[in-house]
Amino acid sequence: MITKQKVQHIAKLARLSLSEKETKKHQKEFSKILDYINELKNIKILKVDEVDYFSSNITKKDEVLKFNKKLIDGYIKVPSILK
Amino acid sequence: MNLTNFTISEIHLGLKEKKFSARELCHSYLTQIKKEDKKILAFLTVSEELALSQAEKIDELISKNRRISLLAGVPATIKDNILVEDIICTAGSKILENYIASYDATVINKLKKQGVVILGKTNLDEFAMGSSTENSAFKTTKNPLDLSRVPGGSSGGSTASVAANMAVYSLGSDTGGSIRLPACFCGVVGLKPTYGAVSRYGLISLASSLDQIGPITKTVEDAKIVFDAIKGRDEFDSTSVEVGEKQKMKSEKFNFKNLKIGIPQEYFIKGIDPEIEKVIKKAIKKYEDLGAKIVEISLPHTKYALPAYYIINPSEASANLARYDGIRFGYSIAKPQINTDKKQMNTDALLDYYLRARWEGFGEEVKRRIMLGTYILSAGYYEDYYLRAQKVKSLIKQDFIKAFKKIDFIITPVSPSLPFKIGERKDPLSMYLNDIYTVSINLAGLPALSLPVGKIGKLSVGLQIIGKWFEEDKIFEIGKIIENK
Repeated sequence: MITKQKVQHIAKLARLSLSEKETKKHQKEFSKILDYINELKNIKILKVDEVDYFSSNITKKDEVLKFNKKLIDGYIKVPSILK
Repeated sequence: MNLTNFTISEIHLGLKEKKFSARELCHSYLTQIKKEDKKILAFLTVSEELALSQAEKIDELISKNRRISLLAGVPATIKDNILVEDIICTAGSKILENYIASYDATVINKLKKQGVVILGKTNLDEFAMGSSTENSAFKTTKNPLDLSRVPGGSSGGSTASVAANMAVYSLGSDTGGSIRLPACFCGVVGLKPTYGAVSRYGLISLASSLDQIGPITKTVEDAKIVFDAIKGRDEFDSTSVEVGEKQKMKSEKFNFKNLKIGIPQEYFIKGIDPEIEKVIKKAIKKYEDLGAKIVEISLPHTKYALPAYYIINPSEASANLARYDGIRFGYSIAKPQINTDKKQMNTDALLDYYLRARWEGFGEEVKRRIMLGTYILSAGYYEDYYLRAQKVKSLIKQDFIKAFKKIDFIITPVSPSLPFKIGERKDPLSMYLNDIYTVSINLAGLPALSLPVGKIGKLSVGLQIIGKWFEEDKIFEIGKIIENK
């Protein structure tokens, strides 16, 4: 079973505060769910092609340039924000 | 005259022939909502003002003898994780209880151009995480077929609103079965389109590589009409694509002599309710009687779909939900501890604020998945879990590619069990298992229709028709043939 400290550590990473009762509950359920998804470790994966997504990029260069007309060596000049 | 039992085409004809006005129609639905929703609890917001103003615009067009589109004046509901400008959008979560959408989702934009009448926003499991609509922070929607049972989820409010005649159609979202399962439980039609067929812009993200918006209707014909209205490439969603001319269905009817329907052997094993199996087998027999050839197929990686899904979903959800910090999007904690000591006004104070806001604002299931996702994506576990799950996702897709070389469609049940009683399933894992027939489809990015094909007592049984990528039109044709038979 996953330790209490581990649950509290993950909660902090996830930006969640947990009560004592919730920590215990998560500890129990977490272990059950992890056991279940660990089933994937039993599968032999020899070679898998990359997952392909039907996606294509959209660039909105024109719109950016509409507001920032100053181009220096291909870079857009913007006001400085750090001093 | 009861106006709440028409299909989209019947309404279109009725409006054109001036048998009733869009305002009268809208009124009938608002009255029905007032009467029925007290017991069903499908709505989170009823947008009466917006609906009536939209209806009046349509009446104006009709009075001027202008042409109106098929969906003009047709009253619809929208799942409360899809943005409608100036209307509260909660995603069923306390953390968004005050959030008013600042723009229209692309699908809403498209429907508005067609003249939609939006009756309101419907209940869902918080951030669409669930299979019963019991995880909503606000209310538990009841199944109109049996009020002691769940409507399914996560689009349970949407399907219940259509099933109880409180809307002609609804838009839902489907990440692992969230349109198909509640459609099955409530006895209505639901389509999960091909990943990329419909823009996700303005949909509150759950797992971005799996989410799709789709229609929930009473008939297959209506599902097609709504799907045609919302589909297509959108410059605000780079995963959306134009459904090309090539995929368009030719008007000629199917020749059943050449049609091959695949039945995956892995889907009819232990765990399925034998009564459901009987109804599904009967539906398959109907296709066979029409001349289709029934072929047993194998999708060998089926048993890994659910564990892979419950890795990918929480991982992507934990990243997507990081933006709800109690500062943006409306929610703020009841009594922030203001520390006047200057030394304490540091990052710890901010961290404490996040911790508390997210603890107060999120429900149990959401926290569970954020925790799980954070763990899976943390250093040392990424390869074992997320990367591995992505590879399994590919293998599942390969299974379908191989199967579709031999067959035209795949038919399966939508759910292994009938709608369960409210409060019956307390263990999260037993709830997850209900998605066993639906998650593979999202992992493979395929389109699938949930269609009511029989009854067991008061309850409905749904058939899942899975087609090839971007061949929704063919699925509709196959569905129509068996509908009401």
